[in-house]
Amino acid sequence: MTRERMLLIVTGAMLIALLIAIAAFSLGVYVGTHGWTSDPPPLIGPGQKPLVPVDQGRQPAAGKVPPSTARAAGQPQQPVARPQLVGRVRSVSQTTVTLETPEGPRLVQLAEDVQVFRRSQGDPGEAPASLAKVVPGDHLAVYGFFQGNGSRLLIARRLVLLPPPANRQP
Amino acid sequence: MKDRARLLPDLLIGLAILALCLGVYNATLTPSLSYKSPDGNELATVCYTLGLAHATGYPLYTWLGKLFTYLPIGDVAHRVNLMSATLGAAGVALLYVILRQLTGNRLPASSRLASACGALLFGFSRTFWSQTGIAEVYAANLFMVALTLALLLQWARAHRACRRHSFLWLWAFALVYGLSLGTHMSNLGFAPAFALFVLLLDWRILQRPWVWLVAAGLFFVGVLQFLWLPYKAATLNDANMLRQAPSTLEGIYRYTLGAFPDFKFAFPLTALPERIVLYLHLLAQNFHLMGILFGLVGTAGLLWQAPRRFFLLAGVYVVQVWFFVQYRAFDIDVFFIPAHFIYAAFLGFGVYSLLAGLLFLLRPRSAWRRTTLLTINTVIALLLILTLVRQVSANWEWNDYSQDTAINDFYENVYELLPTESALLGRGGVFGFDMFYFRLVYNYRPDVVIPMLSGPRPSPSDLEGRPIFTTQRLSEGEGGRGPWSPPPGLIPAQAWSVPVLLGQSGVGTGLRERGQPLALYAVQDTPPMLVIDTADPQFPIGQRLEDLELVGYDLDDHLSSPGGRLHLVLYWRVLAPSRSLIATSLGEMILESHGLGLGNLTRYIQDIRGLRNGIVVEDYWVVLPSTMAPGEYPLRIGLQSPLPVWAGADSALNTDKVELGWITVGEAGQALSVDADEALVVPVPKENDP
Repeated sequence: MTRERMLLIVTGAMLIALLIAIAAFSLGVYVGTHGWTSDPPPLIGPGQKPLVPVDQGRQPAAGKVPPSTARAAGQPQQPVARPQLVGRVRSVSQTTVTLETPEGPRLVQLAEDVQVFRRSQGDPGEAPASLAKVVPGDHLAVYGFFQGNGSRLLIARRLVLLPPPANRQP
Repeated sequence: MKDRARLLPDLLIGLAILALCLGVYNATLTPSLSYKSPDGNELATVCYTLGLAHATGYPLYTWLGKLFTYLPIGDVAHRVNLMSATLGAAGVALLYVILRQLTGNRLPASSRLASACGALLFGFSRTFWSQTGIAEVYAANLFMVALTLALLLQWARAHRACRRHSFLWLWAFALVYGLSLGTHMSNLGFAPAFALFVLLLDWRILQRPWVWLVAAGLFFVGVLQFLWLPYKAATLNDANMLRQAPSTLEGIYRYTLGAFPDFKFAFPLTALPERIVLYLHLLAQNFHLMGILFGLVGTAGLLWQAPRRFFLLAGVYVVQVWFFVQYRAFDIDVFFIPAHFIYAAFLGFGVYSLLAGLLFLLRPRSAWRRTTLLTINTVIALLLILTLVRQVSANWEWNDYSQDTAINDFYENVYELLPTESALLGRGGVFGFDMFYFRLVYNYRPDVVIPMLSGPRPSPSDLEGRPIFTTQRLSEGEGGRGPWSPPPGLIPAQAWSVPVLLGQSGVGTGLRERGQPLALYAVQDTPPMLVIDTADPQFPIGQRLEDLELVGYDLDDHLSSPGGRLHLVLYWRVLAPSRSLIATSLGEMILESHGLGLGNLTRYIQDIRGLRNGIVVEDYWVVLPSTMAPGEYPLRIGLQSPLPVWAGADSALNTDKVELGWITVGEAGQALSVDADEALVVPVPKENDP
């Protein structure tokens, strides 16, 4: 083996070791922060307010009151907004909620100003609630917007705790 | 002669890989336009019109796409989609070639097997496959990257063999590398790895300036394609792109190397571990844990057997991953495709190393060597086939866009229904090409003005005297307006956006990730006739659905055709508060779902009249998918709990549904005959309750 070849192999081995070390360190930091979880980090990344092509027709205008106090027909009513996602809560943290949905588990990122409400059986209105009230097993409707075109990352602006689905059937 | 005989099996295997991939990609290809990519509709159109795509311009992609638009298959968008399939399949075949170059001919059967393994596992990996069915740059770029690497490795091989004219391979590499910037500018980041490889192989090349000067010149010739940018800058109509229009030297820089500055190196150092974990997740999503392990084995094996080639691939790989983990994009997964490509090369080499290692460990006697080799290769080949079958079946549903006809079905109906001399608004710029495509490519309805086509700031005078329609709700107070929306003041602030045509927004369309239904709205000063005192429906029903009662409905005709439409008027009595969505389904397919009053009820109640003793009237056309087979289907109205629109087929509706009758879906072209001018006359209230 020539000296040049040996040098290349040693350098390459150091590079591979460095890359593996970086990957291991990153995994360690991630597990340390998020615990043992199969949820991947969001595609858009952490840190900043999401960069969104705002022209999605899904985001409420700045300062607009969310349709959280919608009332029944016969009274002035907020638009019947369509939740972007509904499912059973699998896990919840201060920044994310993971839901079990017909499509499988879905990670929802919570906006900084996310609002939480509770809807009760037989009551058309929604009572304010807090994120602390959301626990695994709850049924949750998520209103928000997807992070840009084609992305599956949902940013929640409003969470609504739903009554159990069986009770909601006529 | 011996070389040719040795090449023949490789040629056949390469062609088989190309044919297999192309066949699968073609089976899952999007038939025409799609929302799967945010830029796809723009790219498909620009290829045909030879215009200028969004930054970084993609000249080579545009020109290649133009060639594909001459194919006599499908429509123009389908042909550009087909370019992704074809170049994607060719890129996979080139990965086989690259792996054969790396693994050599010491164990030809094992080398071929391992090369095919790496190539096909990459070809049917989730992310790359997803880009081969739509008009996007990533499959075409992968082909260019693969060709660049194959040429460079071929030069290395010819150079080592001291062949005359080996520099021709280097020159070809340089030209192709320069051209590859026209499919993705990020390829420029590979330059240090390429230069390092050339110097590691023969640093004395620096003493032959004519070799590298010509190579640099040819690279520059490839880069000259970007003269296309100033030449076509005047065709831009996107607000953001116009701000950095490449009509000056500074503009060219900002449109190319300086494009998307907010996206680059967008994360602080503390965020990088999470980004690296994201990359690892995407890697595992494509190759699974076993593939990652084989890749690690291949990395070490390649370093040991061919350290210079290791540095070439590792250099390209590290630059890609390093740059894009710090890149902020909502579709970052597709940016890693070249990195996945390199990892697949490591993976293939790992399989080869395993085969070679097994042979070394077994050390079969010469009499048994052939049998042992055959047995091992057969077992590995079977494992490969099983893995591939699993990979294809696992990723098929995710990447199958063959039923995604929602945009075309919707706009075919839009352009058919629009009254003469009307105006059509909607999103502009890059995101408006779902609408522009039909005008720019097929010159649909030249009498209809599309103001956003000419630029982001059309004048109200463009709309003067014309009935106005829009594909984006424009009512006062609507959120989500942005640089791609019609500008404020274009229409009266108090105008109503009245939905008249609803497109498919359900399962199987790229729309399922957008949560945004396709709808055509009539823009009018007067409110729709949304609440009436008494109803006299054509077909009385009187059936309760949860808190609503369907009083009855009108249906123009029980006959339609695939891609056609149905005209429905529903009469609802509101018995109690309801937040459910109303869904129209045909057979097992939900055609659309909407909130009561089609989005205008709140304003109507506030501004016009209350609901007391009233009946809510919903008058709309609904589009039938063109993929629907002719036959008879039950038309149903049901309530949908506030589930997402992609939650399922007809079974996603609540248990109570009302069957309105059976619709005969005839052969295509047997569409309902409607007078366009009459079709979109939206009724206005005769009297307004206080």
